[in-house]
Amino acid sequence: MKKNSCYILLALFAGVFYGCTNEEPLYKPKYLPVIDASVLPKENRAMTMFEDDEDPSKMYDKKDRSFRVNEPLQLFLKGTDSIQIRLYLPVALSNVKIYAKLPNYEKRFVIYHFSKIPAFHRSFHKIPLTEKRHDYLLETGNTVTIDQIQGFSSETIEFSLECDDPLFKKLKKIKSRHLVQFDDKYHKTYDASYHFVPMNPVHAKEAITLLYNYSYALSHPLYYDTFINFDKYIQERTATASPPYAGPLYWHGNAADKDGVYDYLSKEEAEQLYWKYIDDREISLAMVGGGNAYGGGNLVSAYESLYISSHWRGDISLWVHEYSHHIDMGHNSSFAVYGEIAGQSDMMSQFYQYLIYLDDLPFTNPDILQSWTKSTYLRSNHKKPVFKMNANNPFLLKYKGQGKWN
Amino acid sequence: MKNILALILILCFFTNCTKDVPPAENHTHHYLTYEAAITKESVPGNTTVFEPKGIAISNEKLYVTNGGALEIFDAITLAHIKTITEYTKEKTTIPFTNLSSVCVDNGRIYVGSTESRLFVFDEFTHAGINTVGNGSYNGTFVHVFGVLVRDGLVFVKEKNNIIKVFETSQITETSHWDLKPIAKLNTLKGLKEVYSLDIFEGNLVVAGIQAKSYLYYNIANIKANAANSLITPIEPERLEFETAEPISVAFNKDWVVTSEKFGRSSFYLKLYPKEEFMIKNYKSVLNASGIVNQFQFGNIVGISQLDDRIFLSDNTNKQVIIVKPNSANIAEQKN
Repeated sequence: MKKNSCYILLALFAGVFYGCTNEEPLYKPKYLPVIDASVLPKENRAMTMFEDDEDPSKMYDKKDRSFRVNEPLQLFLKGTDSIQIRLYLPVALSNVKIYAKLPNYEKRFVIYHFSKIPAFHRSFHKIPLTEKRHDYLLETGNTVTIDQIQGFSSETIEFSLECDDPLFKKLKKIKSRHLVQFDDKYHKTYDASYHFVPMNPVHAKEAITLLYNYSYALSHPLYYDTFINFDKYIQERTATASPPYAGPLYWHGNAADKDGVYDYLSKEEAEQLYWKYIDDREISLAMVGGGNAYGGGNLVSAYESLYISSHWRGDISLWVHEYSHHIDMGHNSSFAVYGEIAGQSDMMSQFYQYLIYLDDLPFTNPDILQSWTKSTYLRSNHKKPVFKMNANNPFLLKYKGQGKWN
Repeated sequence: MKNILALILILCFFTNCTKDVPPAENHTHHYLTYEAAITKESVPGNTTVFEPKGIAISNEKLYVTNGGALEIFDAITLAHIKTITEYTKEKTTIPFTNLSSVCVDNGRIYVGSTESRLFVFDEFTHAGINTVGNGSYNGTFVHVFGVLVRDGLVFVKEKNNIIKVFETSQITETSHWDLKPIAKLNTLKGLKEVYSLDIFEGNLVVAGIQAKSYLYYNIANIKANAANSLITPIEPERLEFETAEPISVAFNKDWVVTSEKFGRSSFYLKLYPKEEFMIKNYKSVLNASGIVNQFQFGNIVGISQLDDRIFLSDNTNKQVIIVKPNSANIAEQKN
């Protein structure tokens, strides 16, 4: 009997061990629900920024409206227990995870998972940590359970975000950190000879879209390569020119040119200037309704036609010109010279068109905004912009459809 | 035997597949919540500014040095109890001026004045016991910028780089104003800032603002080398920070609470684990520049505690701010 009972015991223990090795993980987390920001309850105070009929004074309020060209989704701690999200994009983003990190715990965890955030969306969200104990998904795939924390300050919580939307991944590649704002001082305080005119949200949405595209183009490796090796670009473009090309052979600066003598930049100086193009300066956007457009200091301005239509067709030479003034380059330099092969306006426009052709810009479809249809908000009539690739585009001739930024 | 088998079977049933969730790996999040503040309005009839410097708590009473007055509050209700503006002993009265520091120990209140005097009076009757120093910086003290009394010793920080150490027994009803210190400590640097001192496990710890470090002096060592230190003041052990300037320091049952200045005007309140702090491993568990929607911390020159409430003498904000440290558990699950 004693022997038998030993066997029975052995069998039972074997059963215990067998039974437990096949179990599911023992802690079963209960995560917070996924949020669709297009259908939020009232308490989230959701709104759409830059609605066509929104009072333009709101878009000119720099404290309320500004964005960095590499940070389309903004997260702000509001009070001690809420965050505000602001999306500066003309289209929706899908699958956005917002992470929090606490000072004494090195791992990030998901506090909000948005299945969708609509274009130009803004809303408030209570930080779930301040409500009660919850389970949160860690980056490692594990779960962390955190007790209620009554409130936060900017030092005691850090937010970050991840998004696998292809558009977001594209925008993440932008190296420039320019802070973009709209400024009404130009049309309000400058005399009429400058022809500055007020913008409205229809213009603003187009300007924002253009800014992402332009910043993406500036950050593009093919552009960087062409910029630094601009001598090579000029050589290739003028190899078969007739009569033979006699213009500048590389970037040249602000000093006046005399008898074909240019104040050439060294490659090191060109490199410095490139990084100046994509630094973290502030840009104030404005619009002109006639006369000249202006750039310089914080200002970059353009005509309505450029904002509504031209940029979709890749005709951005005026924009590039004013932008070069914005980085302190004058009309004597190859950065603000018009109509020359060896100039930034022409080269960048050609490159920009090549990117539209490759569908290698964040936004290439004017239908996302359809601004040309919004005549109530426009100063003149515009047709739907249609992009047409020039068969002689130097980038097309050289790269033949290659060079997309992957 | 059958019974035993049945028992084993039942036990197996309970152990099998009702396995406990493996213990989670725990971490702690520390944070502060705002409780209250004592302001100019807290002192009835006060028409002048409220400029708190050194503070102390004893027997549920909060003592706040405020220019030419020592304000006493109920440390629980925060109600104002009394304003003392002068030292009184029998026929002698000395008006308080420029009070910098206060400490209460063993039934006595010690109040330091930058006008080179230490006033000592009864904690309960407020009757004068005696003064140390005569109000001249050529006398016993070159001004007084900090005072701590504990375990029979009185530590007085002067304007220069010296802390003078006395025995409490030296100060009596009849002692002379010009007492000779039993030891001297070197703070390396010194100036016109209020100094904060505390004691933990046989060590005096001083927030050395100009020396950019916490200064540690072993009390047994002070006693052993007392005579010699009068010629060569004892130097502290310390680790100099690159940027942080410690302003105040106080030990409580859980933490070392300190305030530190960064750059020209950034002030932080910090909580350090005590043991780590004592071996100069300065990894804070809490680092706060203010209480959201309430305060951006200023120059916190004194810290005192009662139960789980921390009293901060914020000279920039001209308030005594009362905060409470809280914690929340972070449990990383094994799944």
